[in-house]
Amino acid sequence: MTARLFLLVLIALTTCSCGSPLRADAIDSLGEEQGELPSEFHRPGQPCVLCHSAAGGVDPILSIGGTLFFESTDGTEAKEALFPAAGFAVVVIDSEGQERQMLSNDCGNFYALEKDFKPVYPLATEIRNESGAVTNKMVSRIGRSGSCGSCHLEQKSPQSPGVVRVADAKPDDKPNCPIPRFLKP
Amino acid sequence: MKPLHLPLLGFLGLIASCGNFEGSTLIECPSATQFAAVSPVLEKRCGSLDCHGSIGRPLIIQGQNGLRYMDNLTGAGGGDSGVAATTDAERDENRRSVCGLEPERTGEVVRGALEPRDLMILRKPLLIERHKGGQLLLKGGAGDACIESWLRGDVDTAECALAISLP
Repeated sequence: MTARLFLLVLIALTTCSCGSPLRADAIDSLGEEQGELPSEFHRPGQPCVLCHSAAGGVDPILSIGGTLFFESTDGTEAKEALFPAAGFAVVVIDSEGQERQMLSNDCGNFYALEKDFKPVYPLATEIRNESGAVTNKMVSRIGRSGSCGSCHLEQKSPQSPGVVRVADAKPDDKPNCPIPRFLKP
Repeated sequence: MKPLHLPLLGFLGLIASCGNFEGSTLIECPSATQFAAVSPVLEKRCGSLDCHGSIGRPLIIQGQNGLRYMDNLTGAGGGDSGVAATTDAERDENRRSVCGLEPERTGEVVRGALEPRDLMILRKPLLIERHKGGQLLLKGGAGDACIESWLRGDVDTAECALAISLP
């Protein structure tokens, strides 16, 4: 009886203590927090739901999250030159017709809390400007990942179409935001 | 027989059972020509970068708006996702991946011994079988008819075109 109990406790402890090593490695690769405490402006470009999920263990739990940038006008793809696109509506429509609008903040970040919106995949997505005009329409569907930054990496490659860039006029002043960092391909 | 001989016999049996893995194995797979109509449907429904447009999946779908094909040995291909149109090499790889998913059973479908819906390539998106990505095709819908007709050897290009045009 004691041996069985010991075995049960051992299994329970082992199960509780093991997260996904792949997730842990991915989170480690994102680096330390830049500047102030975490807020809705932190970690632009990174895959939000990697941490902000039940498995990631960070509140608030998000169902969707990402960052918008303006089109590069100086021809450079350098992270420092990425200009956050604020005030755009990211519109997501799920397979059951639920629609959700998320407004990008001063650092380009947008998100939906899971308690408010739990989409049924796949999702269609478009971006609208302040006047409601569609600036971007995602050609493919989002199949299962709520983190835009899990596919939209810094550089275009065979495995990424690059960051989400809004095709619209950008303001003169660049907001003071953390330097974007991305998941490694 | 002495118990000592059992491991020895097992070891010899293991060696004898090792086949020759050199050369190639032929897999019966429906038409490559007809697959040109089917590939865009799979690219649209299955091939997003967060699903089967990922090199970690048993079924890998490549194309313009997902994962791009790159030859491991020569480095040929390798264009950026979302740019140039799907290439013949990517369509070939997609067909190879579809048939390689369940090679023996796909052969049985080609020979008429099994039905197309006995294969995962239809069972998963129709949600006849558990699928992490959910239901992506409607039973009897255009995408279903497109893939099924190709597996039967006579692709319905009109259904494939309709499946691509649907949102």
